[in-house]
Amino acid sequence: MRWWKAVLLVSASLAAVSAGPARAETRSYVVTMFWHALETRDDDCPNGINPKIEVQYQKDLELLGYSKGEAAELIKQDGERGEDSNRGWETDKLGHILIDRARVGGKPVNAFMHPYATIDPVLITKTGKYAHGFNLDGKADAPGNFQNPDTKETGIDHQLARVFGCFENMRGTLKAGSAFWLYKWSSIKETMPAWTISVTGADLSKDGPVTISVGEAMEAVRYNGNGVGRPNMTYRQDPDPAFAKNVYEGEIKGGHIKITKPGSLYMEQDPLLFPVFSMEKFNADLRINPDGSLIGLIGGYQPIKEIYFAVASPSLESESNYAIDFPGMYYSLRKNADYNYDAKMQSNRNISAAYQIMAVPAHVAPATRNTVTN
Amino acid sequence: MSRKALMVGVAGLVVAAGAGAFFAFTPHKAAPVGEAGKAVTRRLTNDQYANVIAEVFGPSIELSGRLEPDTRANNLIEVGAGQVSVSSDGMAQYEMMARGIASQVVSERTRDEMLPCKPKAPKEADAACADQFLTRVGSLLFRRPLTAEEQKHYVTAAGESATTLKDFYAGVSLSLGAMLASPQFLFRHERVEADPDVKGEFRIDAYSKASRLSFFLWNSIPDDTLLAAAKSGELHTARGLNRQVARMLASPRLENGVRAFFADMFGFDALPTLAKDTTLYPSFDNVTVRDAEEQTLRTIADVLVSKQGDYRDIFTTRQTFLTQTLASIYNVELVNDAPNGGADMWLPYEFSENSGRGGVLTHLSFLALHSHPGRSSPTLRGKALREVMLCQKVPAPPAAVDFALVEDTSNPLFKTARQRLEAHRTNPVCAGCHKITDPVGLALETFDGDGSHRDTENGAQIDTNGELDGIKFSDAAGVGRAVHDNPAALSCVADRLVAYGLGRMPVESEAAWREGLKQSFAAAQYKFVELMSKIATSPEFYRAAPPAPTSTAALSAPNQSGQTEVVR
Repeated sequence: MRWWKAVLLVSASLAAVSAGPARAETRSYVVTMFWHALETRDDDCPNGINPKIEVQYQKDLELLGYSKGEAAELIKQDGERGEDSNRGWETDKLGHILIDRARVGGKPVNAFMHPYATIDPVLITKTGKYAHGFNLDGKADAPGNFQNPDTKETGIDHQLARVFGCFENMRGTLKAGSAFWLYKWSSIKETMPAWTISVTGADLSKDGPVTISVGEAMEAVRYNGNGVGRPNMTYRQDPDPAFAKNVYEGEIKGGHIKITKPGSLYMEQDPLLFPVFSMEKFNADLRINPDGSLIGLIGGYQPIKEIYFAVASPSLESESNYAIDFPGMYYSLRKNADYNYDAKMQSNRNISAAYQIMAVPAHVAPATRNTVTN
Repeated sequence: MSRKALMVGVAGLVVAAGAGAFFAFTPHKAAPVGEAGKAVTRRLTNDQYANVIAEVFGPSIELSGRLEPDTRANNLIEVGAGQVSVSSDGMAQYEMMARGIASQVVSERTRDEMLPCKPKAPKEADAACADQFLTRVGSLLFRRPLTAEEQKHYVTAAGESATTLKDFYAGVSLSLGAMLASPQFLFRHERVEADPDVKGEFRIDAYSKASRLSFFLWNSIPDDTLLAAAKSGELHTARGLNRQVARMLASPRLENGVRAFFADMFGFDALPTLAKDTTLYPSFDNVTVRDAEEQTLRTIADVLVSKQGDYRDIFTTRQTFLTQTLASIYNVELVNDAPNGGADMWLPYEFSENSGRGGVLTHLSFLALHSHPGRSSPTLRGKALREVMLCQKVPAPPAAVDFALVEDTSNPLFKTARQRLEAHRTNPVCAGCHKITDPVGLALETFDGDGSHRDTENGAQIDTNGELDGIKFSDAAGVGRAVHDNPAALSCVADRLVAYGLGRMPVESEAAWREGLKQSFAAAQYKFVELMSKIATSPEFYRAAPPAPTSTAALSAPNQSGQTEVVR
C-alpha cells in the first residue's frame, strides 16, 4: 500500500468514528379526538338493533319475575311521574328495582356494580365480516376475525365491534364517530390529562425505523374556538413511571407512523369517567396529514372490566341516557372477550378493540423544568 | 324638587360649566411661519378615561358601556383627540358611564373607602362632607383646583339633591356624575397665558403644563406632587420642571406612558377588531390578538424602560415575552409550570437565531395587523413599515385597479405573493407604489397572514430577498436590521413623540427645536427615555400661540390662587 493511501484510509476511518450516529429528531403530538373505531354497515345487525331502553327494561323486569302486565304497569307509572318536581328518589319504585336487579345470596344488590349477578338479558351483537382494527394474534383466518373494509386485510381482531355494534347510540362511522363516543369524549376532553405521542428517528422526513412513545401530559388538551385541537401548544410530560413503559419500536412508511413491535399500554383518562385505559399488544397505525396532524387507529386487547366501568359510568341515569343495558353489555363483553383466559372466570379477561384517534403537532417538555420567572 | 327636575338641574349645570368647550374644538391649523403652535384641547382617549377612573377611584370600578370611538389623525390618536367633538349620542354615553361610576363610588360597599368623611346623618345633606369629597375628587378629575364657582355649584347641587332624595350619598353621586360628564373632565383643555419670562411669547399655564406632562409621560392625570408644583409655580421654573420630569421618569408609571405612545404609534387600536378567516387561521382568536398586543408592548417596555435601551433595538431584539397561546402560533416550546388549568402566564422568551424572528416587525401584532383576513400582504406590511416606522407617505392605490391577479392565491402560474405581485406590477400605474412597499414586505413572506411561520406558499419555496432604501437583505430579520440602521426611523419616532405630546402636528417654528431633539437623541445613544425627558423639559414643549379670544372667554379657568379669570 502506498503511504498516501494508508493516510487516506486512516483519515476516513477516524472521520467515520468521530461523526458517530446521526442525531435523532423527535416530533410530538397531542391526541385531540378519540372514539371507538366502529364502521356501521347495513348488514351488521340482521336481527335488528338493541331495543329502546323502555323495551329493554320490560324484558329485564320479566327476567326478575314480574309478569308482563306488572312490568308494563311499573314502566307506565314511572312514565306518568314524568318531570314532576315533587318526584323524589325515595318514591322512585322502578328506579330501585332496576338498580338492584342483581342478586347476591338472594338479596337485591346494585346491578351496575355486580353485573355478573344479574340474569343475562342476551343483547344483540354485531355480525358481518367487516371491521377496522389490527391483526393482533397474527392469524389470518381465525374464527370471528374481521376483514378491513378498505384494505381487505383479513384476520382483524376487533371483538369489541361485536359488543357495541348493535346499540343505536354507538353506531356510526370511522370518520365521524357515533353519538355515544362524541358525547363521552366531549365530556372528558377538556379535563383529562392530554395524551401525547412522540416519534423519534434519524430523519422523520423519510421512511425508516422510529421509536414511538405514548405519554400523558400535566395539562388537558387546548382547543381552538372551532373545536379543533390547537396545534403546537406545549405540554408537560407527566413523569409518572407508569407511563414510561409505553415505548414501542415502529416505523414511518408511506406517510404512516406504525408500531411494528406491539407491547403493553397503560394510560389514564378522566378519573371519573375513564379511570384507566390499558391494552396488551398495543398497536397503532397513524396517517400523517399534509398539515402535520395525525389520524388513524390504535388498538390491542383491552380488559373488559375497564371498558365496562368506563362505558357504564355505572348509574341508572347513564343507562337510560345511553339506552344501553349495562349488565347485558357486561355479558356481551365477557362472551366476546378473546385474550388472556382466566380459568376462575372461565372466560377471557381482555377483548380485542380498536379506536380512532386524531392528533395535532405539539411540544412535549419535561414536567420538572422550572421556567416560571415572572 | 322631583328627582327628574333635579337631574335636569344638574345636567344644566354641566352644560353651563362646559358650554364653551363644545364650541372651542376647531381642528388644528398650521400656524403662520414663525408663530408658535396652538394649544390644543384634546378629548380623553378611551384608554385615558379608564386610566383616570382607575387612578382616582381604584381598579374595582367597572366601566360598563362604550364611549365615543377614538379618532386617528396624522397617524396618531393623540392628534386625532384634538380634532374631535362629542356627538349627542356620545354625550349620552358619557353621562351613562358617569352615573354608573358615581353610583359605584358611593355604593354601600365602597363609600367608606372612597369618601374621606361620613355625613352627620346619612339621610340629610352635609355640605362640609360633600365639599371635602367633591373638592378633592374634582381637582383630580379636572386636573386643577375647582374654581370657587364650580365648588359652590357642585356642593350646592349635592346638598339640594340629598335633601330632596333624603339621601346624602345620592346627592354626592349626582354631583360626582355631573363632574364626570363635564367637558372639564372629558376634555384636556390647555389654557394659554403670557410668558412673563419671554416678552411677546405665550405658554400654557401651570396646571395645563402639569396635565400635558402627566399624560405625556404617564398617560394619566397629574399626581398630588405635580399639582402642587403647578400651584406653587415650581413647574414654571427650569429647575422645578427638571425635578418633576426626573421624578416622573423614575416612576413605575412611566411604563404606562411609553406603552400608550407605542400603542398609538403602532395603531394597536385596530387590533381588537382585527378579524381573520377562522378556516385558514383557526388558532387566531381574540386571546391571540390581546396577547399579541401585550407581547409587543411588553417587549418595548422591557427594552426602552426596564433596560433604558436604544430605541433601534426594538427592531432587532430576539428577546420577548410570550404566553402559551402565543407560543403555539409561533410554534415554540413554552412551559407553564402553573397547576393544570391555570391561566396562561407571561414568560420571557428568546427566539433562536435561525428562527427568522427578531424585533417587533416579526411579532404577530405587526404581521397579522398588516395582512388580509385570509392571506399575508407584502404590500400592506411594506406600507405600514414605511408609514408607521419611517413616517413616509405611501400614496393610496388609484381607483379602478384590477387586483384579481394579486388576490387569486390559487393560480398555479403565480404560487407565491412575489410572483403575483410581479405580475401585478406590470401595470405601470401600480408599479410606482409597489416598488416602494413590496421589496420590504416580501422579506416578511415567511410569515403567514396570522403571523405564523411558513417556508413555502402553495408548495413553492418563498424567496425573502428584499431591500429598503438601498439596503439589501435576504430574510425577515434583515428587515429589522435595515430599519434599525435607517436614520428615518429615528427621525420618525422623534417627530411622532413630539406630535403625541403636543396633540398636534409640529409647526414650522418648531423645526429647530425638533432638529435639536434629534441631535440630543443621537447623543444619548437613542435612549428613548432620554428623548422623552428632553421633550418634557424643553420650554418649546409648552410654548403656545396667543389664545383666540372666543376660546378663552368661553372657558373659565382658575389662576394659581383658585380665582376665576380669563387669561390673555
